[in-house]
Amino acid sequence: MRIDDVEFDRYNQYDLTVLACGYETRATYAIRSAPQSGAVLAIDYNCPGLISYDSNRAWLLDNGSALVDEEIAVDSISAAIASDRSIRVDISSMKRSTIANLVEACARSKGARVEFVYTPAMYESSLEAASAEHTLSAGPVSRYFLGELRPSSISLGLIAGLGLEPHRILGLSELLEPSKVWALQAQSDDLRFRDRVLEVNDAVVGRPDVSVLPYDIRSMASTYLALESLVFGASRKYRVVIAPSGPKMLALVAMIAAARSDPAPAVWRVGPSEAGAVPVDVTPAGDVVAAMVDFD
Amino acid sequence: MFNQIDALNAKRMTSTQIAEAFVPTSGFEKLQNFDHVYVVGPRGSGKTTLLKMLTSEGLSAWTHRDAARTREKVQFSSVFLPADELWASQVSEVDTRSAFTLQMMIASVETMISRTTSSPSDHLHVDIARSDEGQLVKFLSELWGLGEVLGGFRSLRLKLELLLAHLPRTDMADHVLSSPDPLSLLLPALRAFNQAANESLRTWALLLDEMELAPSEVHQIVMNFVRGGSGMLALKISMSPFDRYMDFYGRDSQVIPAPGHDYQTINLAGQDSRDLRRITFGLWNASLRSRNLRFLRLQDALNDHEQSRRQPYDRDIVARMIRADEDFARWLVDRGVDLEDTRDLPYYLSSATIRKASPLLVYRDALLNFRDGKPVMRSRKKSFEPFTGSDAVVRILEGNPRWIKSAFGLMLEYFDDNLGTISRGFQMTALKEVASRFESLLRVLPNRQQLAGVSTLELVDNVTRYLRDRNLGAFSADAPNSFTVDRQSSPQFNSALMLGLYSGAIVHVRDRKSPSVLSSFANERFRITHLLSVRDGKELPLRLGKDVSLSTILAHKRRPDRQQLVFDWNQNAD
Repeated sequence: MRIDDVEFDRYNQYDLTVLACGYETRATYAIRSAPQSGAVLAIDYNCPGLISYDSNRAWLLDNGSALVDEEIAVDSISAAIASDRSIRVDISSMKRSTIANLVEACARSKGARVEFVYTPAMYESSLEAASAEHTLSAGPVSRYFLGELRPSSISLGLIAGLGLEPHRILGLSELLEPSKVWALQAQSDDLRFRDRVLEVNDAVVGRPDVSVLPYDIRSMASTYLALESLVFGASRKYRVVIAPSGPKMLALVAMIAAARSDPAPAVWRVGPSEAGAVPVDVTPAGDVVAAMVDFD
Repeated sequence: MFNQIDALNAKRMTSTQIAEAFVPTSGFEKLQNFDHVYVVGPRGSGKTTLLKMLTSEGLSAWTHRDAARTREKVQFSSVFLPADELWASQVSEVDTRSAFTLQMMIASVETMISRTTSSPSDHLHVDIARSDEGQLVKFLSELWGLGEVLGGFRSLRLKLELLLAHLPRTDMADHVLSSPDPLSLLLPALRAFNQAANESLRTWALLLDEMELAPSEVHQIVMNFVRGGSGMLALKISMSPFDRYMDFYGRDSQVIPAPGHDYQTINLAGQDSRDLRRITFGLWNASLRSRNLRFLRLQDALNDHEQSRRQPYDRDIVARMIRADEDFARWLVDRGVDLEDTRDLPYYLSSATIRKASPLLVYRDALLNFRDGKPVMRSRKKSFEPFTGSDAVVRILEGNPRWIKSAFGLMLEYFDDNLGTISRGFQMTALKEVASRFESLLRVLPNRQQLAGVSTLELVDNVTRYLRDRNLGAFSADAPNSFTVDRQSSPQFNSALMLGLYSGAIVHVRDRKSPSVLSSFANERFRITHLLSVRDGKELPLRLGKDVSLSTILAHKRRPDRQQLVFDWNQNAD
């Protein structure tokens, strides 16, 4: 497994590009910056009338994209890998369960080499999205990421990404009752993120059984190395659960690390339940983070 | 400073660590008998602690004055089988029966290792010669279909763990460990161990923790054994107050175990006040010891006023409320109380009126102003008196060891060594912090049955809002503070109620007719946990009060034109 940070090159062309067609403004930010002549599949989240969904959908269709369901997108990626095609996947507005299914497809395929891109959000829109009250749910992000079944007498260790949303990591910590918590805190040029994250998660980071570890939101490679090492070490003593709340880039990296770890940790999602989601727009910060992932 | 006692959670603590701070209750006494027992209570109520205290490690480490007597009495060897949310999420997706069987075998072997490697003076220590251990391992590996296992118990455990790890990728259909009766694989193993240890009459107990997390198939296995049983093995089962599988079995007319006949029940929710005080005060003392602080009575540390302990009620508050609250004054007059002279009331009259209403008056005094004799909500509490002091703290923490340890850990950070007290403000801060953490848990509780409907926190807050309005509206000595699930209540609330009971957010108010373990909510009475009553804007008095039907609560909508309470932003209008 190898992850290399690369520059997002708007002129690079890919045989297959996969992204989400959702209501967030940033859903089509990257593809609009770098139009593709190859096949573009947009996973249709089908939410007409909601925020920027209609404009996203219209632009994608006008520019030759196909709107598909998730299963077709996953199968297309597997087929493209088998045919040694070049692939770019934009995770910016994808659900975490979608990212999980895509990572699973890549992990199961031989010779998978995929460029993943991610558009970080503007602080103000992230804050607004995080402040919306939701009914939450918590559980494994997908069947593939249930984690290896080990004796329940082994203590539980939680690796949690800290986000702007209050209650999530504290609630998950209360639910899972881990013996040890590693809290991952995103480092960004915008210090408001850091300050707000610490403030919102004060009840967690202040505890003596919690270690706070920084990661660079604009480097998937360094984040992967740190996470992979942490999982390896923690698994000697704990049954590990990774809950990568916060930027979606962490969720992607966590799933890649989990897919390659032995024993495999569980990857959990804690977020709005289907019925409880309150849609809030997320606008792009202006840059695009990219990394080439070689799954072999 | 972080102390082991602050680990809070018995799951994270070894049996030895638990024993250091263990406070025995009447429930623990009952657990020591060689019976099948259900230990029923919400999360954090001490179920895991009780079970772990039955293990040889726990009993050996315990230094309480009852320890020696208890060690003499408990002559069964205990196998502790833990469970947690992660395990539950994984096991539901794989071969459930095989996973449960493997976990049970691993736990049994761990007990065998513990008993043979412990100190000779430890509870139920045995010596088994190495050659005998090898023979025993050979027998067990044949019994359990493991193939050849070289070495002793540790090698056997490793083999079982490998099989567990490979479970999702292995077809176990023809394997002996997928037997429909896993306990039939355990009994011969235990008998063989007894033989090797020269203890042919030794009995055993299987301690099954958090059974509400187990899939229905596991419940079936346990139920069958509790009903059918074996003279050699007792099951001690901890679980949530609501067992949806009992209901399932009842509907299918299968034979279900009979409480009192097939099993005993220990209810940790709604314990009597004596047990509540014993647990709370015991954990307070343990908290002091773990921080090397001198002994100090909880009542003194929490600033209970001597005067208030001697007097049955606060005369100043009563006098103030008579002047301010015209509904309260009228209520007294209707009962023959002379408002000009309330000090010399006959005992029977005082009990029926002022003493009865006193806790409610303290609550209303803290949260209300009065304008023209009518209640007006304050934007901030005037005092913390309804929720602080030892009596209130004992009630709020509900005898829940996790909450108690968490609250005392926080309070002791604010302990003023010079004064030897924790101010009411800091007591309140600590309680609200514990409540906030609990509220975060409620937000993420997984709805395993995937039933549609409101969340537990939504239900709790809806009920709280209604009851708060009733308690802070026009004075009524019988204002409701609990609810009954009537037949008109929609089933969409069942999941929220179930999770509420499981978590401890909702407390079952038991009476003599209540079943040992609930299988249905209809006509049962519940209240909101007192811990959630310390939240700002969601305060409820710490009393039971009358009950009101859930359908009435949920049908009630606060309309602006009929809003009972108006906020008073003028803090000085006392």
